[in-house]
Amino acid sequence: MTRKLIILVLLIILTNSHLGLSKTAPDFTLKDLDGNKVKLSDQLQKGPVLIDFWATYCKSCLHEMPLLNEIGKKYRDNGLQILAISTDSPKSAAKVRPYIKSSNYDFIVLLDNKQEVRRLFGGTATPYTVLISASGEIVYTHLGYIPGDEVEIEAKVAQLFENTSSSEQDSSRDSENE
Amino acid sequence: MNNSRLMKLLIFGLLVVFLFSILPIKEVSGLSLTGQNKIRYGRPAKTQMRLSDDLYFLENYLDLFASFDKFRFHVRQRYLMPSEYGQRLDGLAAFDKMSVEYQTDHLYIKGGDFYQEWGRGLLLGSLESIDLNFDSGMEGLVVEGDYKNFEASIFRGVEVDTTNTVQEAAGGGMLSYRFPFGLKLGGSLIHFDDGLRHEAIDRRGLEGEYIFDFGSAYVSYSTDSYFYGTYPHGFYSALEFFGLNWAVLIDYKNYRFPYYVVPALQFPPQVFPENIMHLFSRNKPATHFTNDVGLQADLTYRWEDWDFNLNVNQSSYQEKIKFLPSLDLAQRPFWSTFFSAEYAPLGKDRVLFQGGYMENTALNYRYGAGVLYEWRIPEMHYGWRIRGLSLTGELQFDKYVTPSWVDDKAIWGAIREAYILIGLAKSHFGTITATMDISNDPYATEGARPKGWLKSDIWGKDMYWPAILVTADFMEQHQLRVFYGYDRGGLGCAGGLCRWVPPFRGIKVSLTSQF
Repeated sequence: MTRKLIILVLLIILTNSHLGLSKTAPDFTLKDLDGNKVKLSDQLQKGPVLIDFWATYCKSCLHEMPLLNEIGKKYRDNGLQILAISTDSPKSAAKVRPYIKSSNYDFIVLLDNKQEVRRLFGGTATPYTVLISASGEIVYTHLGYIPGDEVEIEAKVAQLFENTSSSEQDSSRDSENE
Repeated sequence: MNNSRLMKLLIFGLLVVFLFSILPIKEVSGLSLTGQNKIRYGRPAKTQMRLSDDLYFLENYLDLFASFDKFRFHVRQRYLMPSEYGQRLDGLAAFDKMSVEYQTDHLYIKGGDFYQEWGRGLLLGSLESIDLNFDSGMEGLVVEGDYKNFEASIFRGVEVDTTNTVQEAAGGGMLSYRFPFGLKLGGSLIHFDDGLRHEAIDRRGLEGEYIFDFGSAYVSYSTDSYFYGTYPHGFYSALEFFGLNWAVLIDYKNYRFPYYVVPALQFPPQVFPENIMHLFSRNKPATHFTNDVGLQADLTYRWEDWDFNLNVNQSSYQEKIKFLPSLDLAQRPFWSTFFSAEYAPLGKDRVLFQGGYMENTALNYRYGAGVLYEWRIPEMHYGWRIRGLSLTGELQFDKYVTPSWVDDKAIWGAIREAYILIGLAKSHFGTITATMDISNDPYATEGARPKGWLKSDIWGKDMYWPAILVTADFMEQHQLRVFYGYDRGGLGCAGGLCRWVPPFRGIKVSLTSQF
């Protein structure tokens, strides 16, 4: 049995290692705190999207959120959208709105009480961070939060904008040459 | 199921993952392939305790999703050999979850396995927690749609929880209307029937929500009709107010029904804080609802870099419907007060003070306090740069006072407990955390009692439960967790779902992968 387990683990790691992270983000629609529907593809038209799956009972989520809010403020003018998706079940749903409203966060908060969207993005726990480019590609995912993680998350966001601007420059240069 | 078939199914699952990674369909415009895999393995230490031997477990959950245009497909391969907390299932529940979804802006149809919750779980609640081996998902069809301010939902399904021998069949519909000024009202009718545990139930439900500028109010009510008549069933409400740096939540439950007719597809709000210090969290009162009435007030206040929280909770059982919790000892009254104050300047060191008091059945009470400090270690240079390190230390104490009765006189005995945590973490790399549980509770955790040398007499026959937890992130997609040592057990909760976690001594490993 132990041998089978080891083989299973190694196979999964090996197969995963081929996958890379550049893939199309599945579209979804969730409701915000006021009951309005928000669709990922609509948000992507404004720019890249940073999704944070969180819950009120997840302590590390609550520590990460103000830092993500700062990243959101810093890159807001570049078009970055932050979607904070609460995975609170109906049992703790009552705590979501008071927490968010009293924290003065700038980002959009969505409700995924069945955790279907989190599963769809491969998240098994919270916090789970997903960075999606404006073209809809998942460019980065990260499970959990350790103090200092926000530095790399911000670096990934900055890198995304650098790549976008350099590819735009390349395409404009190509069009000029033509 | 024989081993040969088992391995074939596993290999098939891995083949699917592998194909996902190499096939050109990945590049097809609009097609998205995502998934996750979670392996959980536990091996108890060699012991003469039969209970501990039984705690061996091996689980694997492989989920694969394909999204294209308005369609989404899901399949899960589940492997329980056996599961950790569920019934001792041996074998593979292969591809036991599959679903197809179709979604437009105003219509949603899902066939196959689904979860559905109405009235915040009071009217209908099917949910899942992999970590707690809990699953009350349904298999069937759900259709949801909206037109202008109307929303409607209907479903028909059978509970497919593999740990239950009896399956609950349910079907029903809900219609709601949202008024332009922020009020939403809805009504539902659901029929439950498991054919054995309870009579067929027709549940009528009402739900209301009013959102205003500085708060919101939520109400959910249900009443059940049985063969023998109608039973008043459940009421839940939540009132929220908030300002720029403060929030108040007052929620209230009033549940009244015979315990023997509880449908499996019902999980109403527990009205109890979950995010409290470890020594309290493990010893929470039973949070599963029966005939109980309770209320909770939760106050949050932020001042500069400080966060303050105060939670007051009171509840009791009830023989007849009462508006407020009873103080009668026969109704097992419970009340608690918790507080926390956290100083957490953005991106800097963090300090947390917390404490509280819990009183159960007016006889036993527990009080304690704790402090946590998280030090963000400055960047270091030793020929190479080391950054993202943090060191966390936590100390908690509590005292549990309970009487023993001799000749109708109470002799008050006290149990002292402590919890120590030291953790080193590196961002985007992993953590190593050592914990120590200390208690002189003579009745503590028979199943994983520490070895003889792990004892002292500071408080009198103290016992120690040491443990080490290592987590490692690698390749941006995988997280490995290794636990080694003693776990005293207690009540484990995740997202409002609680389950008694048995004591454990040994090693637990889990590997989570996203792809």
